[in-house]
Amino acid sequence: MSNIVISSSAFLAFNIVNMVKLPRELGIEVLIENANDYVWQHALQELVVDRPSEFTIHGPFLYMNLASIDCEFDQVIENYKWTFNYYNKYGAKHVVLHPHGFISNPQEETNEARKTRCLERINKLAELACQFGVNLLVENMCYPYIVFDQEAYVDIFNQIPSVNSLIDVGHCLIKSWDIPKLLKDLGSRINAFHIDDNYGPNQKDIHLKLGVGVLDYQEFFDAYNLYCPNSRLVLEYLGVSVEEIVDSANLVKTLVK
Amino acid sequence: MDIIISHLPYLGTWISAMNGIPKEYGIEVFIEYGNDYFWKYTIKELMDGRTGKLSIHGPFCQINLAAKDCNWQDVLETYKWSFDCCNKYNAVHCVCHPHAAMPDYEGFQLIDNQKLAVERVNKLNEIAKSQGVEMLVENMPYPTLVLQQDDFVNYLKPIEDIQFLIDVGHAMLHNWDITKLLADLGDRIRAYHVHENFRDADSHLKVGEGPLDWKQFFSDYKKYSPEARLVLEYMHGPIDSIIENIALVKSYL
Repeated sequence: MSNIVISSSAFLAFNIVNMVKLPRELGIEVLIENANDYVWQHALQELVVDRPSEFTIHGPFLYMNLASIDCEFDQVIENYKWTFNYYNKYGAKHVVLHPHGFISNPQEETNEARKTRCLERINKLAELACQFGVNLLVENMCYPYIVFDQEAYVDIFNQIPSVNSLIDVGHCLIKSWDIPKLLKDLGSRINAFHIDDNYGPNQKDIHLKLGVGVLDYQEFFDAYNLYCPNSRLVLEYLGVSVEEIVDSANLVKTLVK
Repeated sequence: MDIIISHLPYLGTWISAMNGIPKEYGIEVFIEYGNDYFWKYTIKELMDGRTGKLSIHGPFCQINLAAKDCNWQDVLETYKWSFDCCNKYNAVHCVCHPHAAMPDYEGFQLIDNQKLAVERVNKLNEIAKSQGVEMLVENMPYPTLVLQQDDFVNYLKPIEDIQFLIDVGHAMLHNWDITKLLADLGDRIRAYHVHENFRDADSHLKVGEGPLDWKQFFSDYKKYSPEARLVLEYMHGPIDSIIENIALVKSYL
């Protein structure tokens, strides 16, 4: 059976302590940049130590655009070293990386130039991850302008063999990606999913519960069960209660083989 | 008098929405909900060209200064880090919670826990002063209070170096006599958390959404602490509605 993990996206700031109410067979993913060392050390001691399920980390992404010429990449490296130390201290299973951020002026340079810059930086972070023994996962994005379309995203994993994929299902919906094909193409390179729903192509990235938006989740889980049945399933929801998350996790359990 | 808007409705990824706050208003951030990188870039962007002030809400998550088993050494370190942030980013104050929920253990004596909280607040304030930071002690909302109104004033006011932030919503939640509180503490009150509720929960409603007599409050404010900063600590946005509410606040002034 797949591992089901719950993102701290529904437990921001002081609400992080409420993650203790989640059943311990559900894992925990934390948005690591959203707290300082004191909060994490005390929260993770309670949430993660001796938990019989998996702990994962969403790496930093705010004010960090790997596609931008203005990105202070040495600072990004330091921030990821900080993140990787938490990975090792608490025995995490993956760290999620955004390959780029919001691009306000796509015409400023060619997509090829941006793609080259992103790949170079992902590669450096991948090398750093190898040094730290970290399983680094690159996520698909859903900004109006994306550097990696579906085909280019799949190609990241040919170009950089040491990283694996995390597919955000909601992001796929917004960008009208062919989800069964994506899962077939990447197969076991998909190490984890962000499960979330929304109202489809070009709509907002609102991280609804599975089944509330337009996702054909039966089709998704058919492909999942066929192509990557061991991938971790991270429920990354916004504005939901513990009870709603538990109900959603129970629904997911009925859909995985 | 400065008007400052709290980060409360914009936690996590949503903080960038605070860029939409007009530049004449300040911003108060919950400093523990970000790491060094996060604050370096977030504050740089939020404060760019802003004439309003930055203030910092000090750490309180999993911290209870009134509890015997408070991780005191770790608390000292996280406060020192917060004070460093105040200096790095020119924050005008750092808010301190003197206690969390009422401690509960065998042999519990309220007076011991009150003294412990006050002793620790005093120590933190000494460190703040040594780092050139103005720390403000806030009144709390918990169902049972370690420091009720009389104790809050009687324990803390005699320590001359201690300054205060009065949270209006917390005061009304516990039916504190707000007029008396402002008269007692006067200009030792350096800031307010402005919000209200229906005395049933700490719901952080906007001015005018609940039952508080704001005309009375602002009359007392002008009489006793007219220079104190007003930090609008609302649970919800959007920014347009907060801006609209500022017009109402100004009408009382």
